[in-house]
Amino acid sequence: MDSRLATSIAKLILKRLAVAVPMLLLISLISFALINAAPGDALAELKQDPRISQETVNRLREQYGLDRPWLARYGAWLSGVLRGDFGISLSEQLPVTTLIGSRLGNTLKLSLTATFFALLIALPLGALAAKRRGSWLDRATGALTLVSLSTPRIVLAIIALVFAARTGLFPIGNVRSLNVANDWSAASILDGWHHLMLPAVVMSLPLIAVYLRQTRAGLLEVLAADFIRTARAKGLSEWAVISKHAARVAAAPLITLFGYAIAALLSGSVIVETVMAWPGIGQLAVNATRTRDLPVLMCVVMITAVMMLLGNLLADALQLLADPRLRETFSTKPHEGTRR
Amino acid sequence: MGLAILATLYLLSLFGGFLTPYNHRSQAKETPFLPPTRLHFFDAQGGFHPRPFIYRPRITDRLMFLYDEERTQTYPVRFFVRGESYHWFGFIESNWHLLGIEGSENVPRLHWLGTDGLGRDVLARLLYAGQISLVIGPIGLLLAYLIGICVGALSGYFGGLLDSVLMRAAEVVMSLPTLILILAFRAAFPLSVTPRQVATMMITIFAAVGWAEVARLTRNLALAERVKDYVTSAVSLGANNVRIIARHVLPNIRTPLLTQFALTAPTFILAEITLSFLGVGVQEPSASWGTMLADAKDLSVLKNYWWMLVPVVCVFLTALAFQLIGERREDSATN
Repeated sequence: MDSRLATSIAKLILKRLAVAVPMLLLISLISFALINAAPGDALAELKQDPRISQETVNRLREQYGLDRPWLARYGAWLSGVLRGDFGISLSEQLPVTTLIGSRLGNTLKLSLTATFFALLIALPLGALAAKRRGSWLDRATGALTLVSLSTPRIVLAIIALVFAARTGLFPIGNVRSLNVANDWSAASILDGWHHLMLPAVVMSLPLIAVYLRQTRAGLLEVLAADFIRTARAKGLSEWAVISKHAARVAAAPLITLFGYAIAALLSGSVIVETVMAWPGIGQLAVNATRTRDLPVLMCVVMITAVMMLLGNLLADALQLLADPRLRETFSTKPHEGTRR
Repeated sequence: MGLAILATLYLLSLFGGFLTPYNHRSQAKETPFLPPTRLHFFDAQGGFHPRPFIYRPRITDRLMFLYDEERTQTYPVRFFVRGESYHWFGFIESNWHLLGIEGSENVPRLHWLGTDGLGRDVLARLLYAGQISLVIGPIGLLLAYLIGICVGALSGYFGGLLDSVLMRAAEVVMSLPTLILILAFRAAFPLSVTPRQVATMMITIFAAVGWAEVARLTRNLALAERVKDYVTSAVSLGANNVRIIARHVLPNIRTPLLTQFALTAPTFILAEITLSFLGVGVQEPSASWGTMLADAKDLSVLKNYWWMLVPVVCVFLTALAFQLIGERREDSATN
């Protein structure tokens, strides 16, 4: 790695870290205050149960620290988090880290597979559409992107459910069948893929549309540039022109998009996981909202915030790799992207 | 095209009470999961009726809710029938319906899109739900725009410390994925809320989540406008800051703001639908497209009662319409 690249990446990371730490603190404080602003807590339902005495409820409240003022609880929560302890789930009676651990893996598996699918389909198809602008292929992909951009994930997920229920080709819900062991045998891996396939396709369809559009638009712009004409005039093959010359320039906005797509994936996974019963953190967040499970909700909020920041950092670091010009004049302000 | 689709959806929802034979709450408990009523022109003897009629449904399978028709008596469908009462635009009570079956007691019901598990008219619920699903999101977004434009204009116009404080605040809001943020805000409200509170709650949440992006957009636009000659000349003419922002700067940055509105409106409409779908938004007996989808996602319903899936079409059409509008605005902005 050339040294200028290394220093500029190190600088970027330091700069982001300096912003990220106060940001995360502020996010945690605001979310903690918000969640505590609501009347009623996780024990409110217990209180209405005549079989449980007021003393028991009071004791439980004390045990969970729900009787103290929220700022004191925030302090306790924060000191716990700094030691890697996110508290104990109020509805599941398990440490939050245990509860989230496996689910985070499931969400990442789903999101990464979806991204992989999307790139696998969108990049070549987008390049082809740009190359044969105005052809039937271009028009067909254009129409498909419009439809898939305007099909909300909730609709996609339900259509997928109907498909699975009517054809019986795909299992619905969960990461593996109950009768299949969780090991590295071929049967287990196949079964895992079988469960993953449909949710991953639902997650990836809107992504395909976004990437495809960007690839096509970016390549079209680049292909009209002078240096492409020069490359062609040199007698380079069309493949070399696109893969060596055009693709590098066209990749830049795509990389930025990739970083921000992480946010989109997390929002999207809430819906897909809930509709298709995929046990990830999105589903957990919804359940935590329903049960007022504050420690779990806080943990999910913090994880998503960290993932967003990492995603943006990754996008900018990749950008530095792809575009040498940025390394020299590295004095960037945070990128201005759009969320979905 | 997009506008036409959207206008149709809004008009249908607005006149929902009149267009459907029943209101969204009345239950026909003896006919749950009734498929859409079939219109007939020929009776059992082969006689032709110029006025279409329906037969009374008869349940044949009480487990699966299968029906056939009692072909003994015909019930003609008529225009402008008195029936169940509803409210025009939410406050003028009326009981006139566009189409229906004459006679009040013991006539079969006319369900264009069948009934749900409680025997409620799906079409009536669909249009009534439209009044909620198509309205709450945009109102929340409007409020977000009001706040965002004020914050952004102040921030961009005055700059300095005010600018950094306001923009850092916006960044905190924007650093979380929209839906997670909405769920966190939702946790600040009690779990079960009355139908009246639901609208207020959602509008508050959407405003609290949506203002940041608007503020940043407005700020960046205002920043670019501030140095232009017309602002300088307005200052030299002695106009005060409020006047310059409101009369000169804002009208000049109107177009990108409107485009952004068209692009973000579906996000908030979908957010309402999603919250209701997840069971933390609109609650029974009110209806939203989200709660209707939640009713439909049950496996046996998915398999057997296709008419329960009609809200999917409405949600898709709404998203498509906004996408078309947004793209047209973007095109005209770049060309």
